[in-house]
Amino acid sequence: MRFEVAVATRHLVAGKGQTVLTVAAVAVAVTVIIFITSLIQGLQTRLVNDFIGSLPHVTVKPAERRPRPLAATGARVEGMAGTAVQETVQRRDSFDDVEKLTQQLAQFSGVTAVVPAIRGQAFLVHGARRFGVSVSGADPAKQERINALQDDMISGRWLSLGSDEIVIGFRLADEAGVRLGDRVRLLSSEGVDGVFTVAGIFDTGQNAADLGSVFTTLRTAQRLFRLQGAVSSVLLKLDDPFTANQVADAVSGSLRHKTESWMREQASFVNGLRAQSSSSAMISVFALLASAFSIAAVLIVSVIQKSKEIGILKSMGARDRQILLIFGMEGLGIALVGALAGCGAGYLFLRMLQGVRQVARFGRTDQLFPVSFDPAIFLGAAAAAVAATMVAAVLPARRAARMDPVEIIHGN
Amino acid sequence: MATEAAVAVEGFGLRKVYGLDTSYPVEVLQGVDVRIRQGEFVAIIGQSGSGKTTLLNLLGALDRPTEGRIVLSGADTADLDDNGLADLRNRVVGFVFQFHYLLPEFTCLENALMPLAIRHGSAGRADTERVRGLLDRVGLADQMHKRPGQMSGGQQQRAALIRALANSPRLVLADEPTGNLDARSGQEVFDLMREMTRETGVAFVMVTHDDRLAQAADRVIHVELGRAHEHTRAEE
Ligand SMILES: Nc1ncnc2c1ncn2[C@@H]1O[C@H](COP(=O)(O)OP(=O)(O)O)[C@@H](O)[C@H]1O
Ligand SMILES: [Mg+2]
Repeated sequence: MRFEVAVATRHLVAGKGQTVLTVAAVAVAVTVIIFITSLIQGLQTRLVNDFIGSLPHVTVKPAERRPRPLAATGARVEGMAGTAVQETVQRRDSFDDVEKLTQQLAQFSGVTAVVPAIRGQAFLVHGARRFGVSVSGADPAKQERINALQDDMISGRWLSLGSDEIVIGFRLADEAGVRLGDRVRLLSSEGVDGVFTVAGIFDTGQNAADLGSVFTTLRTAQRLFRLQGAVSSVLLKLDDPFTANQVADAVSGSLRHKTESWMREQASFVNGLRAQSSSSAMISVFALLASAFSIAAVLIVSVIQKSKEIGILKSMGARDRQILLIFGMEGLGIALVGALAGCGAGYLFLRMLQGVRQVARFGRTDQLFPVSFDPAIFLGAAAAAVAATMVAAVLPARRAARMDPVEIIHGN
Repeated sequence: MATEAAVAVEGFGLRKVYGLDTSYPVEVLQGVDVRIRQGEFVAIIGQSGSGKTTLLNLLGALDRPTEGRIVLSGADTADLDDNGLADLRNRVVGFVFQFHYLLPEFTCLENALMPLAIRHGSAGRADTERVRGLLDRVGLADQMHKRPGQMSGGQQQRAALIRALANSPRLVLADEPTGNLDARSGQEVFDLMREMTRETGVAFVMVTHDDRLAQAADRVIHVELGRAHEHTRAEE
C-alpha cells in the first residue's frame, strides 16, 4: 500500500495543473451543494416559521357526532324536525377529560407541546359598533408554545393575563377605537355576554390576526362558550413540523379523535416547499454530474499520458491491482481534498450571506438570508462528492490497470 | 565445459502469432529454442521487425507465447496466472528499454528502488544502501536525488540499469539499451552492463543494432524469418 500511496501522491503533486483543476471541480460541486441546500433549508425554515409559526402543527378535535336521524329522536311532529336535527349539529363537541387527553397526546413521539384550547366566534362590541372576532382561549404560557405572542406585544401584557382580560390586535384596536385598559363587551356564539379589559395589544404582522383575533385565558373562554372544565380542541406543536401528517394519523388512528395537520390544511404551501426542495436537489445532482464528468475526463487523459510509466511499472512486476489502486487513490485524494476545500468555501460563503441584513419590523435589522449551518449538509455534500469522484475515477483506473505493457513497449 | 552454469531462462519451440483474432494474423516467431545461462552476456541481433523485442518479452514473462514453453528461473510460465507472472518478473527479471522510462516524479534513487517498493511497499535500509552502492558504482553518486529530467540520457540509462538490477534478478533483458544514446555514452553504458554482469553473475540479454557491441558479447543470437540461430564468428 505504501508504494501505491507514494506513486499516487507523487502523481498528484507533480500534475499541478490537472490536480488543481480536478480538486477545484470537486470543491465547486461541494460548495454549490452546501450553499444551495443550506440556503433553501434556511429559507424554508423561515418560511415555515413565518407561515405556520402562529399555527398549531396538529389540531386534535373530538370526532364529529353524526346528526341523529329523525326517527331516532323520537320527534314526531313534522314542524319540529328541522329544529331537532339542527340542535344535534350545533351542539358543541368537546373534550371533557382534558388532563387525561393531554397526557395521552404528550406520549406521541415528536410532540413538543400540548395545548388544550378553545376556539370560538364572538362579537366584540365597543360603543355602537360590533366586530366579528375569533376568540382563542388557552393558558397564555402554553399558548405561547403555539404562537409566540409575547414577542408581538406592542403594549400591555399577555403572559400574566387574568380572568376577564383579553388581548387584541392593533388593527382591531384602531378600527374599534379601543385603547389599552379600555373595557369592551364580548358576545359569544353561545349567547354568553361579558365585559372584558383589554390588557394588551399585539402586532403579528398578519392582517387577519391583527384585525380579527382575540386571545384570552382558557377559563374565560370556557365561560364564554359554555364549556365548563372542557376544551374544544387540543393543539400540538412538533419538533419537526413536516411530520405533522404522520403524527396526525397516529393520533386519529389510536385515539379515534379527529385531527387536522397543517400540511393538509396548507397543501399548496407544502407543495411549493417540495418543489423548492427538489429543484435544490436537482441543482446538486447536476453539480455532482458536471464535476464527475470533468474529473473522469482529466483522469482519462492523465492515464493515457502515463501509459509508458504504467507499462514500465508492470514490466517491473506491478500487479494490475496495484495500478488500479494507484489511480483509485489519486481519485480519492482529489475527492478528499476537494471535499474539504468545498466545505471551507461553503462555510465562508454562508458566513458572508449571513452578514447581509435587511430592515425588519419594529426597526430591528434582520438577516436577509436565514442560513442554516447544518453539519449534516456539509457531511452529505462531502460524501456525495467523494462518491461521485470515486465513480468517475473507476473507469480511468481500470483502464490503467488493464493496459498491456507489451503493446506500450512495442509502441517504442 | 566442465561445469555448466545454471539455466536462467529457457524457451522451447516458441511461436508467437499477433492478431490471431484478425483476418491477417502475423506469425512473428515460428519455433524458437533458446537457453540463457547465469553469467552469460548474450546479444540478440536481427533486422527491424524480425521479432527481437517479441522474443525478449517472452523470455522476461512479460508476454505469453502462442505455443511453446518458457521456463524462467525454474518456473514454467504456463503454470502461472497473470499475478504469478508479475511476481516472477519482479523477483527474477530486470528490464532495460531503449527509452529508459524512469518515472519523472521520482528521484534517481527512488526510481532505482522501484522494484523493491513494488514488492515490499518500500525499500528497506539494507536494500537502499546496496542500491546506493550500485548507483555510486556507475557514477551516479551525485545524481541520486535528481529527477530524471535533470539528468543526461546516459545518466538516465545507467539509473535504469541499476533499477533493473535492484531486486538482484537472475536475468536482465535490455532492448536496444544504447539505441538512443550517442556513441560515447552508448559505449559507457555497454561497458557498465558487461562489468555488472561479471560482478553479479546475472544473465544478460541485449538486443542491439550495433555490430561492434554485439561482437563484444559472449554469444550472439540472430533472429531471422521467425527463427533464432546461433551467430557463430564463422558466419562473418
Ligand atoms: N502487438 C502487436 N500486434 C501485432 N503485431 C505486432 C505486435 N507487436 C509486434 N508486432 C509485429 O511483430 C513483428 C515483430 O515485432 P518486434 O518483435 O517488435 O520486432 P523487432 O523488435 O525485431 O523490431 C513486427 O512486424 C511487428 O509489426
Ligand atoms: Mg524491437
